[in-house]
Amino acid sequence: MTPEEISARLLARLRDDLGVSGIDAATPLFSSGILDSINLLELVVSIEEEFDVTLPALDISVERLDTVGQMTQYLSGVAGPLTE
Amino acid sequence: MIPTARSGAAPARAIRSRRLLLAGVVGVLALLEWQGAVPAHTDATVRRRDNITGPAIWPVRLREGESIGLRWRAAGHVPRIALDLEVEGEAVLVRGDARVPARDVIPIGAGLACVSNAPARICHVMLPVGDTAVSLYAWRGDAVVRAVKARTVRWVAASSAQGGRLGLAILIVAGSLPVAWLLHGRRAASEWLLAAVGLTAVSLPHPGFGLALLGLLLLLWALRAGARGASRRGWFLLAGLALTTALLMAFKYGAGGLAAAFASPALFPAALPLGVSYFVIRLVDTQLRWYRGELSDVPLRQYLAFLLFPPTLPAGPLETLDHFRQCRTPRILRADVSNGLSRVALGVLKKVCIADFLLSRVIWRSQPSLFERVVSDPGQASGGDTLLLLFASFLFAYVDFSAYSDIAIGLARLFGYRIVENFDWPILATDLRDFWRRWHMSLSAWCFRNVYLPLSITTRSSVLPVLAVMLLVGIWHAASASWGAWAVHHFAGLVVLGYFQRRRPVGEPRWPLVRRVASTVATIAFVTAGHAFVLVSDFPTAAQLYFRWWRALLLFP
Repeated sequence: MTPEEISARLLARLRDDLGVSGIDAATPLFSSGILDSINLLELVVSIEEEFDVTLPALDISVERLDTVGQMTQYLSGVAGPLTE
Repeated sequence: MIPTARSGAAPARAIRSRRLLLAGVVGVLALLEWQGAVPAHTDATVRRRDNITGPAIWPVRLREGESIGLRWRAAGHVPRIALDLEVEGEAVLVRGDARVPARDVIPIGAGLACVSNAPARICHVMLPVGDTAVSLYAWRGDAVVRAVKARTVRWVAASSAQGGRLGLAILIVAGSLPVAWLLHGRRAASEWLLAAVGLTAVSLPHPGFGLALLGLLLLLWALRAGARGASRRGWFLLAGLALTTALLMAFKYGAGGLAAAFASPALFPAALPLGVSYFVIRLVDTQLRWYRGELSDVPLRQYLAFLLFPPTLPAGPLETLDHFRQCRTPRILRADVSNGLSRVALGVLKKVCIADFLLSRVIWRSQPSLFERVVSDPGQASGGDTLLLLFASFLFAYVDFSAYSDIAIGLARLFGYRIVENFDWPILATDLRDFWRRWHMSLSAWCFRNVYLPLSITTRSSVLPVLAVMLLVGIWHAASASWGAWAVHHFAGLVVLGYFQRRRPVGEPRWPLVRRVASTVATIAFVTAGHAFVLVSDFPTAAQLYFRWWRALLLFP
């Protein structure tokens, strides 16, 4: 899966599951207040469902979830099977 | 040394001049306030102006044949004064007829003296909570032979009061700022300087403490270097966190024992018993980042400069290492100096004029004080007094803490760092979640990153992590039933709010302005109610006060 595909699927899940639209890969989500702590769990569940992965609790930081670009980078780099 | 911005137009210069003038005026005010707080005369009276939540410990070493005397005048809430006496063999006598064993509790207003007939006795005087004028002196026979040194007493205030932190900060700035400006262009030298200044500040009470702290930091640095490979990272993280937590526990809850171990009268009056909590928080954040493989390129000097950064050392704001690296300005311009000074001046102004002069007067400066009238028997206190006390105390906590944050942010700017903000008008919050986004923002962000986020993922719950965060914040302040109740109060508020917010109808509400004002009032009323547990450490009294607040608010009087 290419980073572009990961990014597109993330944007789609954000729109469908969390009602976040009109953003791009660089839009800050948590630090700008678009998403907050209540939405965090929904986002994690969406990512895990979409990519069939389990996110390790201590590996996830706000910086890795703050933008779609960062999520894509993390999923591309750490969740190796996605890129195979 | 300090370049001027190229676009220095006349209006900008006028603004800077006004800011510098304001800083000067406030500096004089602060000096006067400081002089008033710690008078130079020999009986070394301290008027403590801050409501504190933990015991202040005053270790005083007695010379042979000297006694220690304590006089106090409780202008506010001092439920108990306890003497924690360390004696070697002989009994401790109390002037008068009574006999006080170690760790006994003396009721308010009693005259007290403990007599030492041997050298090197240490007398720890513990004042749990309150605003108290205290004279501390030593005597032989009936004659006072030695007043406790002003320096000792001044640092006593620093153990819990903002005034002491302010004094320490002023000393650091005065001594190291010119050198910091000179070295700012050379990043490595400048960061070593910051680390050295911070280490000096924490070593002032006792050199052994600074060395111990440096040893811990270097040990954690070495652990991080050894934590290569996924299988070892977890163990190194655990070891690092255990060491860091042990440091917090030792200083927070084992202070008496550690003071005795160091056997130094001047050790614990420093800012560290409070500052160490902030230090530990920064350290934990750094270790978790290392665990995730972040910040692997941080040099030792930057790591030390971050953890020992003088402006944020005593009480935050809680920076993160990555932001600390990014927020350093390449050059310190005159505008940085002007903005930094005016921010410090704003903080001092808030502290001196609003917190210490106005709010402190409302709460503690009458006979009997508002505090005494309400807290002595909250069940019988008038509704008006209860509402005024808790609201004024909440405001005091807000103004006092945000003033300190202003000073720290301003000082950091003077050192060439634009650090994070800590408050964003929390009294205008429209709900409890909004309040926590505006109050002590750097701590909220830390909790979200390091507690809420991993616990949410692990437990798949959006409720348990909130409880964990609130309990952690409570314990971080003090391991007491009152702080536990405070945590449950906020947890319950957030859960109930979340429940109703999820069921809120979609669309624009009617009367948006009225709803906003009502929400803000309700939020502050809720937060102020919880402040009963912050204000009073004795849980049964705090609980009575808490329910009295709701009764007064809903069924006035």
